[in-house]
Amino acid sequence: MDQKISAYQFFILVFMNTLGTAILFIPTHATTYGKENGWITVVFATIFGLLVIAVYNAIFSKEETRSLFVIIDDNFGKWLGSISILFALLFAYFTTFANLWSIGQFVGLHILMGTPPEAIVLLVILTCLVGVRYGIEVIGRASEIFLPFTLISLILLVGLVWPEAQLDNIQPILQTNVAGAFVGIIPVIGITFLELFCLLGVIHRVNNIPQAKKAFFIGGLVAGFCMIIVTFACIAVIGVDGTIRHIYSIYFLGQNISIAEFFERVEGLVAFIWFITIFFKICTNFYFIAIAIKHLGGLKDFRTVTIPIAYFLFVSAVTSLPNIFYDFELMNSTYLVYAILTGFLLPILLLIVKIARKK
Amino acid sequence: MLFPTILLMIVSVIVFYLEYKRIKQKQAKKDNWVFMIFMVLATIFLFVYMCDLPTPDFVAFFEFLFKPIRGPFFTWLIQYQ
Amino acid sequence: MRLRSKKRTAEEKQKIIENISISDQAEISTSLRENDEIIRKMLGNSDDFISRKILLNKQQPIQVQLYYIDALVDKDTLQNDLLGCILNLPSKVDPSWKTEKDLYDFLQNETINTSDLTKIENLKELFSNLLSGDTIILIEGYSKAFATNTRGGQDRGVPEVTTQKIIRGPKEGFTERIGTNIGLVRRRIKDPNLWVKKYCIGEKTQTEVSIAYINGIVNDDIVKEVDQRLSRIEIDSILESGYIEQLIQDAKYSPFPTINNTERPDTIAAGLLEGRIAIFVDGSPFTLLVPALFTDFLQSSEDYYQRSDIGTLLRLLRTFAFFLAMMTPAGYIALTMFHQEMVPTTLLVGLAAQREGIPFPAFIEALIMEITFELLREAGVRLPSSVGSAISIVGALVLGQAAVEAGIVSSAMVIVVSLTAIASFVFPSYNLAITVRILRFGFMALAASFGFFGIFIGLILLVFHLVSLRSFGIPYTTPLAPFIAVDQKDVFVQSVLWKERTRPRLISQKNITRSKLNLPEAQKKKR
Repeated sequence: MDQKISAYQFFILVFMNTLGTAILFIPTHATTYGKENGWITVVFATIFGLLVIAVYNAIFSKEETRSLFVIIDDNFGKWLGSISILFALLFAYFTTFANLWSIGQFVGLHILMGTPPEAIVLLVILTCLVGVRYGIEVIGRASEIFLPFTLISLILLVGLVWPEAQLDNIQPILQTNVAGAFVGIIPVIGITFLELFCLLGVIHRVNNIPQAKKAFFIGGLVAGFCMIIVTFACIAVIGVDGTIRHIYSIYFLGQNISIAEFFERVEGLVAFIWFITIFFKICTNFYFIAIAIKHLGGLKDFRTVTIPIAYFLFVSAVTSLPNIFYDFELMNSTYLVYAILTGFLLPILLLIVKIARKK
Repeated sequence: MLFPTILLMIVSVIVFYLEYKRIKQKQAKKDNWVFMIFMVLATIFLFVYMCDLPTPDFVAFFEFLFKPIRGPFFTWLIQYQ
Repeated sequence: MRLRSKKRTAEEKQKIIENISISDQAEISTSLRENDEIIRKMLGNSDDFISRKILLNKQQPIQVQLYYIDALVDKDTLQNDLLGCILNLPSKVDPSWKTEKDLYDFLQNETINTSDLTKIENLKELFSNLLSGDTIILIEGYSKAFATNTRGGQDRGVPEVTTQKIIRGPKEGFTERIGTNIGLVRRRIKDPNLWVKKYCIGEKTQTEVSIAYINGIVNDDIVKEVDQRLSRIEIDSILESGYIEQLIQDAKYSPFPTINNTERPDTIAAGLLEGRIAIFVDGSPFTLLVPALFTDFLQSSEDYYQRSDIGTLLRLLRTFAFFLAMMTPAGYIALTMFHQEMVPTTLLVGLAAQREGIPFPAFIEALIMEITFELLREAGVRLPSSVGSAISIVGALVLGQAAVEAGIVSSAMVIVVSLTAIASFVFPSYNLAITVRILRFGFMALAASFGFFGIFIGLILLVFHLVSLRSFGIPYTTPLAPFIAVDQKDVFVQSVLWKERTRPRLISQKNITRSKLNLPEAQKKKR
């Protein structure tokens, strides 16, 4: 039974995966490097991200029916292919438990004060386990249901903070910190577009590959646009210092809104957007891990290993990372290096080998 | 932590049994073996964590893996912050 | 006179009686006495079983025996159209019929007035017809019997709909008679393409089950699927359409209904015209409609009888009520236990003051009230109507005033519970209301342990489950996920009737067009 998803569902998955962690961390990250040009950093990051997506798309020809893993195996050979897949798999694993950890941390700190993060991580991983065991079709359809709510929340948030924006905060545009603004592209791309590599494991499930490629591109574009707007709003409303100082600056942004003493404390909206997107991100990454193991082990069904993986993810998520500052350092060093290796170099290598083989 | 540990272990055994039966119905021998190995490892992993013993640290492993690139890269990057 | 003589020994007779439910081929004997004996033994000499002997043609007497079950036959038909005809035969009638075919022709063409007369080949058929209310005619010397349709007995007539009340629209509802029910639908769709297929399910009950669909609109794969599932049923009894529903539904362990049921012929007709399949079950006024989608349960046939803006408003209201009925208590628990900061300060002070004397946490409080209310509702359904008002007084007093005054629950909780109760009565279908009642408790538990985050997790799980369901191959949440843009005209927002020009995409898949003419524009041009 081959589960299929539509190009539209794939578009939503791309959107959700890009925004997953990003919506909460990107304003702080981009502003740390680009200061008042932080939003320009995100603009360039989006452009580069779309180039990355173009590379991803080039891996799949028009009438591709093979999965990513088979393509890797065919081009790299059995041994090298397996090692590459394992490498990518570990990256997906890293991403997944880091995301799990951050949702546990965030909820424990800001929403349910006093609830141990372990309990929250357990709850989230169990929910994702249910989703993954249902299969990619169900994940795709569920994302369709949640997309309107996510978009409405996003529009509401941006619309509500607009009156408080001070354009002084973003000036001067590209006068100082120019180098920082451009270097900042690397870490920003590292936690957004390079993580989309995991979606390559899903793309052959889309019933129409040319449309899927288009959806991939549009999804990246829309998500990038959302990130630009959100970063811009953060810098404009709470200023450069505020954005850098607050780890969850967009959440702080939501807390600050007060319009006519009626619309108050809309940070719930932020939390909602972030939960939804990160949920689908964890689900797709989890799914990627499961199908990668299925391919490596030559298994019949990817569900075989989902339960043990959930165990591993749970323990890793609650033990591996000590605190948020360490997480930030990680995102700028180890994780970033790893992301560039799997999300950028591996596909390019794959592309080069593929072209060379054709000739 | 005694009670949650025992509870989780019991749950693990039940889950193991149910999932094992489900896979067995599909008559995939390889799947069965892989599942058994993974599940035993995972349960041990969980048990070690619940007993507050040191668990294998994946992050440290990755840091070790990328040590030659990681350090210089980070110092270069951080100067732009 | 005897055409064929077949004598049976006593043992053989006994054998037939024992095996009749198994062997279909036990033949009818030529001897009247023998048949009489077997039939009487099989029925255990039941007192409502009546046999009547008639002698035709006094010169050359021909023995004719009639059998029927007293309560199942329509006495008028029996007396006027059957007995009357046979007895009024001119006594000097010449029995020129030599073969069975002649006899059949004679009975059919010259003697019996009833609407249909069927020839019966064996004992199994004989019993099945007899127990359906037919009158069986046996004639001495012939190894075939005849069944005349005298089915009747007590009937409610076409009643007014009791469970799915609407304000504007036809009032008549289905009854327990399958023939009447199919007739009610046929009267609405006068199309030769409305095809009906009959099944007989239930070893003991031999219940008549019919599926109806409009050929050319319906998706043939779904018809095949329904046919297969119905044929696969092996059960001793079918007493209500609920049996069939449980036996053929897709998701066996889901709280959500994947088969719709209705008492309203107009709903069935509308469903058939959208390409669905109706399943009629004899003995039940509730007719099934497949495939059923989640959004169907939030829609009422009345929506289409009124202007579209009213329909839209009502649908949005029902959708809102769905969430309200499911999550109001959970939301209250989450607010008071975890997220006090989200409540406006003035309200928070009031709430805190109310809850000061309450000995329970909000979760227990909510649980007590919800369970009390569910009890009250269940009692209200079973009670005879004369006592009903007493219960409502008790309910109002116990649930409302007294509980608050006694300090067991806070008055805010009473509001929450009543809001939930009202919201859960909004749905046009009872199935979904029950689902919501079950899920509400799950959400309450989640809210009590994880606050709004728990509710959010519950919602995600709910959506995962919903989108994984299928109803006869059609994804349960169809127009929403997978998203179909053209079908959005008739989901939450109901567009004007003349713009609903296509049938739902996935259900029918062919013959999509509903109306071609854009009516109001055509009228405009005339002016």
